[in-house]
Amino acid sequence: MSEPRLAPEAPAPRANRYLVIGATLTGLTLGTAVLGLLYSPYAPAQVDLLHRLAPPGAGHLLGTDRFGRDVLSRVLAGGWRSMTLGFGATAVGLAIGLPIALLTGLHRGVLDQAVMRVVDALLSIPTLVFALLVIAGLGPGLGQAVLALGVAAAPKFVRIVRSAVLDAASQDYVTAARARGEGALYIQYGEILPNVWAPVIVEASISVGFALVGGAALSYLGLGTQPPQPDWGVMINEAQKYISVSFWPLLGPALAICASIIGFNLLGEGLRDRLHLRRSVRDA
Amino acid sequence: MPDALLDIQDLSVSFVAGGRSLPALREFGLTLHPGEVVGLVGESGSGKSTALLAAMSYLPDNARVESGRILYRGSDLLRADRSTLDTIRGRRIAMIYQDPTTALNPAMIVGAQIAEVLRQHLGVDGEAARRRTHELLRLVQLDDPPRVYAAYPHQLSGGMRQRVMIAMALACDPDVLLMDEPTTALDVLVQAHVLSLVKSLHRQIESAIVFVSHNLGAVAQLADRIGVLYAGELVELGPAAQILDDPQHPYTRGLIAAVPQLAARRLLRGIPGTASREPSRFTHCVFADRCAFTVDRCRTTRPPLVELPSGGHTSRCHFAAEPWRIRTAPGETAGTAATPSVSGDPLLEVSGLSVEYRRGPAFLGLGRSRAIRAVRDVSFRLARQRVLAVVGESGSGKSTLARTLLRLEPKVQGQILFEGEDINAFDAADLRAYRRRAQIVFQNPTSSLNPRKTVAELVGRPLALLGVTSAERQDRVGATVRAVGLSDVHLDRLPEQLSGGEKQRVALARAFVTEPDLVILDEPTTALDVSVQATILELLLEQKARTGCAYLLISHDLAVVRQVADEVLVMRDGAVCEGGPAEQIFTHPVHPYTRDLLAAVPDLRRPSAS
Repeated sequence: MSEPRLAPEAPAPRANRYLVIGATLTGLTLGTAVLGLLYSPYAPAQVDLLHRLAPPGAGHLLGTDRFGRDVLSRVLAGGWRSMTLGFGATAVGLAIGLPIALLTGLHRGVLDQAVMRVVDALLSIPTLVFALLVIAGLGPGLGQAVLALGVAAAPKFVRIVRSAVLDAASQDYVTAARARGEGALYIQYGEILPNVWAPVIVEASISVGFALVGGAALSYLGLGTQPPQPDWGVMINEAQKYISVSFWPLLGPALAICASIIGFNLLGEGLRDRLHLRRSVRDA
Repeated sequence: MPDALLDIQDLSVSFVAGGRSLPALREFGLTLHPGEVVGLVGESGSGKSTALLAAMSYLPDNARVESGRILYRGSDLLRADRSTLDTIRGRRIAMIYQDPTTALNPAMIVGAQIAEVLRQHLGVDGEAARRRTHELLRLVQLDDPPRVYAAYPHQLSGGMRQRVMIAMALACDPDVLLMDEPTTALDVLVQAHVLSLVKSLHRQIESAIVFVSHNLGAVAQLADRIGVLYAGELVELGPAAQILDDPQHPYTRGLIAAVPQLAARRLLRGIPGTASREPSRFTHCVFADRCAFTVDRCRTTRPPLVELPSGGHTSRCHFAAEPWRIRTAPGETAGTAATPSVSGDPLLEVSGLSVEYRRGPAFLGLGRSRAIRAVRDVSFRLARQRVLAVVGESGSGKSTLARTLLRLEPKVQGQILFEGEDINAFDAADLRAYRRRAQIVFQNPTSSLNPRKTVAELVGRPLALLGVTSAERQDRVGATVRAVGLSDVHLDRLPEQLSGGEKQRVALARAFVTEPDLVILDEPTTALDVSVQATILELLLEQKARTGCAYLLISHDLAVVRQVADEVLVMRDGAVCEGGPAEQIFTHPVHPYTRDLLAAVPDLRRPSAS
């Protein structure tokens, strides 16, 4: 019967700042992607050989690339592909990781041990290398890149969600559910899942950032989006060859990728603090 | 008073959370004289630990001292600088915490941890420190000090760890010993040993002791004076005998009436409602909303602390000077008779039950595993409408037994007959029927209620599982929730929006909604405050009368068992050491272990030899 230990108030302002900056940057990049679907100043593939590698100006706000294509239009048009990589890969990772985590966290035994050792082994392979291995089997392309990055992200989801599942599975409400004869699926998805959303959401928002980097890297290597289709990673790949002539084509996609990665990571951090803070206040 | 050792005056403490200031303690005053033992009792949130932590200047960062002084031999600890505090704290004033497991460093041998205190505060080092540590370990009645000295905390039992903590606190021969629930985390036998140790130590050393506990019985064993805290207010303070035999404040009376006692089976009286946590509660009497004698004045004016004519006894009640106005009419101790045995076949018949756990192979089933028998050859019968209590300390196998009866344990030998049919031979349909008729209520409602589900969902789920239609479900959930003393407004709430007592009512509603014949109660009141415990026990007996079910009550608290059980089974290390009618077990225990358990229960009656 100890006294209430209330959570210290100090972390709140910092967490809010993370959340605000993260949400703003995320909103901006998402907005860019959506805008790109509806509008662009020029056709993204419109070549203008007279104005190649032009610096930003009245006609081209972010300049032009080596074929004289408008960088702003290509950043806008490529947005949805990059976002698809980020969100798609995270969704694939969750779709694989969540059921495994719920199953093994609840039914512990030889299967659980075996699965977790495999997961540990996979975690020891760097994500991008793992994704390259998958691509090696599937071949290059946007869809394949999404799948590859998702598969590569899954082990991490298993690890993180599983620890939350273990915590929830030890609670009496799970025993109570067993005692009244609930099926395994209801216990996993009806009782435990609602209690592990907090770490899932946090990890997912951070993972979107990672997948964006990974997707850009794959596109950069020519394994993701296929040129001439634009995508921020592809654009960086093309622009860096001419960096000694002009760095302007690099600026737009680089800024967009930075903003989205920083945005999603800050959003994840902010959510983590926020959800954690909520929990400790409630416990008090 | 000139000879006061520790003088706490007008101490008010608030906690800051979410931008709000929540008062935890209001104008608390206590004067401690050399060599006396003061007990502070109160339920959760009453401010008793806050008072202790403030006296040590160990309040958490978000606590704010609003007013007051804490004088140690005349110097104010709240305004003392760090170096002055360091010479007093741990040296002149020492503290003992509730949980010795977290208070000791698991990576250091305990001898070194005590020696460290000696080195830090007294500058004693090397061989001298080791000798003194051995002396201290002997003082707290630990056999073989050299062995304990070299042991790591995990190699010691809970009781031994608490003794080590006491030895550490005594290392510098303090004037004041502050004890924060020192026996709460311990089993009943160990608790009795630690209490008697503190009692005998108090005779040997000269320290004054402040003993904080929610257990009125434990405080009664030790204290010269008792202070009663409620919702952050010290409502009554006086000589122990007067507080226990002739309490003045209505809350103290309610508290004492709610404490189950071994002496006799009687109807416990709970205090309706829960303690207010409103920051505005101090503008009037903090107990006004739960008190049976509340008048308008109680809701508008804060009562002063009134000095009673008996001397040294104060009560914060408007009617302190007119005690006849706050007495209940006589006849409040109506007894509850044991349920008459219903003839016919027993509902549950268990014979030769054993449960084995396999401990060991951590890696893919490699390596050797060790079999641990958690339940050994247990047999009993439970008739309809009766209450069978299974009693034992932690690790006695009583909770495993409960899980076995619900078919939650895989490795079971022996027979469990429910209405003559072996539950381990049930097919899927039989098992579904059995799950409806046998329910369980857990110890901790915070853990047993899914925090993401509303009360309606929680209580309705067992019915949904049985295929009851949504409309009928709604009716039955509503009726059951009302039967356990909640109302329809609670239906949409989440567990976190309920108090501990309300949560346990929801857990009861969930168990009763399927109209079971057998309800297993696994320590159903252990996580609750005393005044709430009494109302829940009352409710349990009421529900049994209403539905005609039988209870299997798992408990470590013999005083609680005394109030409700018809039959008792005493378990130790997985085996039954004594069983029989409750009246017989409590009045004529045969097995020495049963006798030890009964003797260990701290009672409100003052110990005769002191």
